[in-house]
Amino acid sequence: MKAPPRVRQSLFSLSLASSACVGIVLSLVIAPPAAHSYPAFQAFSEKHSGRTVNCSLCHINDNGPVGNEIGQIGSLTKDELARLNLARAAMAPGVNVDSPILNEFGNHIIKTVGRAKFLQMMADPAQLAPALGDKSDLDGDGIPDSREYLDGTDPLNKFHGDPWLLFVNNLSRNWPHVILAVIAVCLINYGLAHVIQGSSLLVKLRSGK
Amino acid sequence: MKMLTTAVDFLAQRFPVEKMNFQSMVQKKTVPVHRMSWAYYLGGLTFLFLVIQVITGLLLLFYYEPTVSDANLSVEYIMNHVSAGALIRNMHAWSSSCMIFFAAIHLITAFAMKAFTKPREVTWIAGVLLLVITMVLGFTGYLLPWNQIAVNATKVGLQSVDAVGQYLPGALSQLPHIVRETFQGGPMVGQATLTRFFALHVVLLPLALAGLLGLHLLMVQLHGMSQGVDKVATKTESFFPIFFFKDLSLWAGIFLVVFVVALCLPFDSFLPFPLLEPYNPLGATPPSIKPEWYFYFIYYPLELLPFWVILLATMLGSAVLILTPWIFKDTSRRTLRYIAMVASVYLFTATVFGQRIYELIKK
Amino acid sequence: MVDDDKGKIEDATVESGQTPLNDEARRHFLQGGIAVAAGLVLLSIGALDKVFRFFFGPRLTEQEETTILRAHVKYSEQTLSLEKLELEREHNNYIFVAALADLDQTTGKYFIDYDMGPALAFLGSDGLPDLLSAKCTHLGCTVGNQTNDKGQVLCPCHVSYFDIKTGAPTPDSPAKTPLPHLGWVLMDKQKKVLASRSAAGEISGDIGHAKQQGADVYIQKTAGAV
Repeated sequence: MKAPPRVRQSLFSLSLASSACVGIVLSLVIAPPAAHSYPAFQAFSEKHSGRTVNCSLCHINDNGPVGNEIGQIGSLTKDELARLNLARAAMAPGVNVDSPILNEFGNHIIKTVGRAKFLQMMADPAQLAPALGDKSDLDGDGIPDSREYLDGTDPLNKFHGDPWLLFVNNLSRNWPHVILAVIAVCLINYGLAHVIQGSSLLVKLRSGK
Repeated sequence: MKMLTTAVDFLAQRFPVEKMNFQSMVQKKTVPVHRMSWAYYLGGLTFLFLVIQVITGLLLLFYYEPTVSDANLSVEYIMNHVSAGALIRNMHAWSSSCMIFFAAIHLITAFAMKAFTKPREVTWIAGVLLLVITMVLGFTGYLLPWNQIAVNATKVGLQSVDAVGQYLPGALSQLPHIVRETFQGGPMVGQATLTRFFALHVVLLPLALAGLLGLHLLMVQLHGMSQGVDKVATKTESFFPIFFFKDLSLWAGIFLVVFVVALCLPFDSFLPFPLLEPYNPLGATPPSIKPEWYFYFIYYPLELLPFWVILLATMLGSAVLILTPWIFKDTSRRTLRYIAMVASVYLFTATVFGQRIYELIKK
Repeated sequence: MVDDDKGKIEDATVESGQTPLNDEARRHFLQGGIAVAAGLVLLSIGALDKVFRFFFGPRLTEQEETTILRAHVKYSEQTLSLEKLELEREHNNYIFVAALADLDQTTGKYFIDYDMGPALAFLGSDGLPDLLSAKCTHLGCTVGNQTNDKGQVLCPCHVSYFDIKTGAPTPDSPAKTPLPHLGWVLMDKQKKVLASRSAAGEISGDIGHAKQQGADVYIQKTAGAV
C-alpha cells in the first residue's frame, strides 16, 4: 500500500535532512581538517636564542603538519584523525593529549597549558616558557623544557641543549668518574716526573763516566 | 748519467740509511732546548689524537651500520643504549677536531722554525699530505651519521667541485662533473655515496695515513729534530728517555681534558637541532647548512668572493705549500715567522669571525 | 803496592760517589713506576666495567626493543617507498598524477615530480590542470595545499604566500622566487596522449576533446630528470 503524497514528501525531506547530517558528521570525522601551524612560537624561539629552530620543536615531522608524510595530516588514518580531533578539543589544561602530528613536547604543551591558552599565547609567545614551568624535563638532560624552548634547543634530545648548562649538569652527574680520572692522571704524571728525574740522573752518571 | 747521480745523491741525503740504527735514532738523539721547544711536542699531540681516533673508531665500528635506512638509527643506538657509547662517539668527534687543529698548528710552527730545509723536504711534503688526508678523513666521516647537516654539507662541498668545470675548455669542462659523480657513486648523494665514504674513512684513508705517517716519523728519527731557531741551542736534552717521558706526561694531561670534555659536553650541542634530524630527501633543507669549522677558511671566502678567485688562491696556496722547501729555502726565520703569523691570523679570523663578517658584508 | 791501593781507593771513592746517585735514580724509578702503575690501574678499573658491557652489548627492555624496531621499520619503509618512487621515475616516461575530474580549484593534490620533489596539482579556472612545485623556494619546506580566498598557498615554515596561477610569492614573503610550474599531459584510459602543456605554457593537442574524454593527468619525463 502506497503512503499518501504528504507523508511521502515529509519522509523524503526527513531522509534528505538525515543524509545531510550524516554527511556533515562524516566529513568532520573522516575528511582531513584544515592544517594549522603556529610559526609565532618557532619565530620567537629563533629570535630569542639566535639558533635555527624548525617545526620539529613541537611536531613529529620537521616539515610541519602539512603534507602526506609521516606525522603530517595527509597521511593520517581514521584512528589518527580521531586522536587529532580529540587533541584539538583539549581546550583546558590537564587533558592527556596524544596528537598524531605533535611530538612529546608538543603534546606536553597542550596538556600543560590547554589549547585555549596556547592559542591566546600566539600574541605573546614568550609567555609559553613561564606557563610550562621549571619542573618538566622530558629528555632528562637537567635543562627544563621551558629553558630549552627559550634557548632554541631540542627538549627531547638529552645530548642537545645550551652547551654550558649541559657541561655543568653532566659534570655534576659524572663527578665520580671525573675525580677518578683526575687522580689517575695526576698519579701518572707524578710517576712520569720521577721517571724523568731518575733518567736525568742516569744520563748525568753516564756522561760523568 | 749526471741526472742519475744527482737523483741518487738527493735520495742518499734524504734517506740516510746509515743512521737507521738504535744508537742514532734513539740512544744518541737529542732535542734542542730553546724558546720554541714547546713546538716539538705538537707532532706528538697530533699523533695522540690519531690514536684516540683509531681506538674510538674501531669501537664505533661494532655498532655503526652504513646504510641510508640504518645509519642515523645506529648512531642513536650507540648514543642511547651502548655502554659508554655516547662517550666513545663524543671522544671521536672532539678528537677529530683536535687532531686537525694540532696538525695545522704543527705545520705552521714547522714552517716558522724552518724545519723544511734540506734534508727535511720529504718530511715536509709527507706532513702536508698528512694534513690533507686528515681533512679528507674529517669530510668523509662527517657524512656517516646521515643526518641533515651530514648529507647537505657533503652535497654543498661536492657541488663546489662541479663549479670548476666552467673554467675548463671544451670536453674538459665535464671532468669535474665526472669526478664529483665518481666520489658520489652516482648522480646524487645516496647509498652509493655513504658506502664509498665509509670505505674511504675506515680503510683507504687510514691505510694511506699510516703509510705516510710511517715515512714522516722515519724521516724525523733519521734526521733528528730541526734546529728551530737561528742561534744554535747550547742546551739539549736526550730524546729518550727525557723528551719521550715529558711527551707522555703531556699526553696524559691532554687526554684528561679531552675525556672530561667528551664526557660532559656533547659535540652536537653546538649545532642547531634541525640539522641533527635524520636526512629526509623529500623534506625541507634546514637553514644554517655549513661545513665543519676546519673548512670555514675556504667556505666564507667562497660565499663572499667570485669562485675563480678562491680556485686560484687554493691552487696557488697548495703549490706554495708543497714547494715550500724550495721557495723559502733562503728566507730568514724572522720572515717565516711573520708569514706564519699572518696565516694564523687569517685562519683564526675566518674560523671564529667568518659568520659575523659574512653577515656584516651581506647587510 | 801503595799505588795499586791508591788506585783502588780512588776507584772506590768514584764508585761510592756514584752509588748515592744510583740509589737516588733507583728510588725515582721505583716511585715513578709505582705511581704510573697505580694511575693505570685506576684508569682500568674505571674503564673495565664499561668495556665489558660494551662488548657484551646492551640488554634492552621490551619497550626499548619495540621502540627501536618501530623506528627501524619506519625508516626501512621510508627508504623502500623512496626507492619505489625512484624506480617508477627511472622506468616510466609518464607518471600518473590524478584523474582530471578529481582535481579541485582550491585544494591541491600532492604528488612527487621527476626530480623527487613535492608538487601540487590544482584545477585551473579554464578546466585544465595547473601543476606547480610544492617545494618552497625560500628554504625548501613543503607548502600547504589549501588556497586562501586570494588563490594563494601558504608555506607554514616561515609564512610565505604563493599565488598558484603565477607561482609568485607575495612581496612580504621571505621567499623571493616563484614556485615553478610543471608541464602536464592528458591521456585517455588507453594511455593515448590527448593534449599536453609544457612548463612554459605551450599547449598542444585537442584540449576540448581531452576534457570531454574524462582524461587522466600525467607528468612527462624531461631530459635531465632522474
